[in-house]
Amino acid sequence: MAAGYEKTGVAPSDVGDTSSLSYVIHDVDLDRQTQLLQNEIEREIAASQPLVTDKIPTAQLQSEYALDDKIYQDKVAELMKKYKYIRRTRGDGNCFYRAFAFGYLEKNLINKKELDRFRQLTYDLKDQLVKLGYQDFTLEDVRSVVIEIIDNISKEGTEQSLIENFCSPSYSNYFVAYLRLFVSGYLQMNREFFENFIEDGKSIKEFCCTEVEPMERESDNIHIIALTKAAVVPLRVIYMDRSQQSSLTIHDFAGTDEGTNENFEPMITMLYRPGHYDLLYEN
Amino acid sequence: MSSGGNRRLLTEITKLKALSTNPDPSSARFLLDKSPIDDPSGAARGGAGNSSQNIILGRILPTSSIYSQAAYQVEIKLPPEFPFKPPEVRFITSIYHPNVDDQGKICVDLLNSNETWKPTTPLVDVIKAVVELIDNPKIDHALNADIANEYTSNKPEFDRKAAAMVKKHGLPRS
Repeated sequence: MAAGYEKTGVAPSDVGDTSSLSYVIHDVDLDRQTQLLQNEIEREIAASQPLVTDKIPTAQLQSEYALDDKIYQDKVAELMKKYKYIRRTRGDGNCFYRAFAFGYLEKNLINKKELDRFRQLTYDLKDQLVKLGYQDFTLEDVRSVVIEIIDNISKEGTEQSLIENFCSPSYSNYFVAYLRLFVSGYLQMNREFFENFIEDGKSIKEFCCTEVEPMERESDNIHIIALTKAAVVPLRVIYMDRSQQSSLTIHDFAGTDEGTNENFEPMITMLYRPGHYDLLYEN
Repeated sequence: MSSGGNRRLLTEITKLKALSTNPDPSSARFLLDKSPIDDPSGAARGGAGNSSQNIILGRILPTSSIYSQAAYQVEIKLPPEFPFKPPEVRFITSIYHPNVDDQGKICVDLLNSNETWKPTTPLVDVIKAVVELIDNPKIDHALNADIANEYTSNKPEFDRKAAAMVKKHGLPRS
């Protein structure tokens, strides 16, 4: 019966004038079907895309665009001059965080001092968030896995251990979730500054609840700025899109208040194409 | 769930149990009936195939006039990807309410994974959201047009039917 009604509009009734009654009748079965469909799409993506691939020559990007797509082919050629390899990440809305985590850990596999610094930041974040009103035990649930990953990698220091520890979904998602919390914490602790950048009048807290913390929410400049500053990690993002200029746009995120100059040395380099982040390597 | 996830589950259940004795009148009242840790074969040992591992049953105790006369059992099912995917909640007890369909399905924003479910959301918040919805129906998000209609245009009839269902199906509040 309910299926016969429009999703929005007047709900008929047996008696009386119903022109004053209009509901959005919530079709929970439609919600459920949508959710099942989304789950199916996610499963397909998971089956066909690893969380993080091996290093692939950037030359392979050429085959992703039509041979006569001059704008993109020129840009790929430009990219290949400096960056020889790329690692793809899964396109699931978490790619920025996943690329960040993997790239960071990979760069610091044998840099114990740096890993210890990051471990401390990771450790301290929980209490900062509890002060902001978060539940201790659910934070602890996520933090404990991230600490475990860092400790394992600190001990082993090999790319193999990184892949083992990080690329299994049950571990990897905890890291992604915690990086989201890094962003959320940083935005809330610097709300006066960031409030100016939130569109549609949302408060910082609302923004964090809907655009930062839920899994699969995509990342924008504001997320990148917050994470690089919270973690104090210098990041370079190369933008490749359909805009007419043949040169690639470079965005450097210093992670400190000092800003960047021509001597900027990023710890992590990413390729951004609309909606997706991958990792780039000079060699 | 990770191996630490069992620690989380234990804490979740402890906090759900604590809802039954919380003296704060604004806290949601809930009575835990069955949880994975009751199971002697051991949720703690893991095992994705053990379906009893991820189901929690308990009764919510609303406070609004009609529904406060009984308790209603809900089932909370934790999916394998928990906490990255939200729990699924449905009513086991039949209840006449604009936001609960005849299969016991409800629609709570918090549980919509696209919108506001976060890996750090505790299960007590889920229970609070469900009780809040029962006590404060959202007519503009009704699941059944006839009931929504009746609630708005013939409240005494709605009240009568709802109360009758409570009397017929409602469970004890202790």
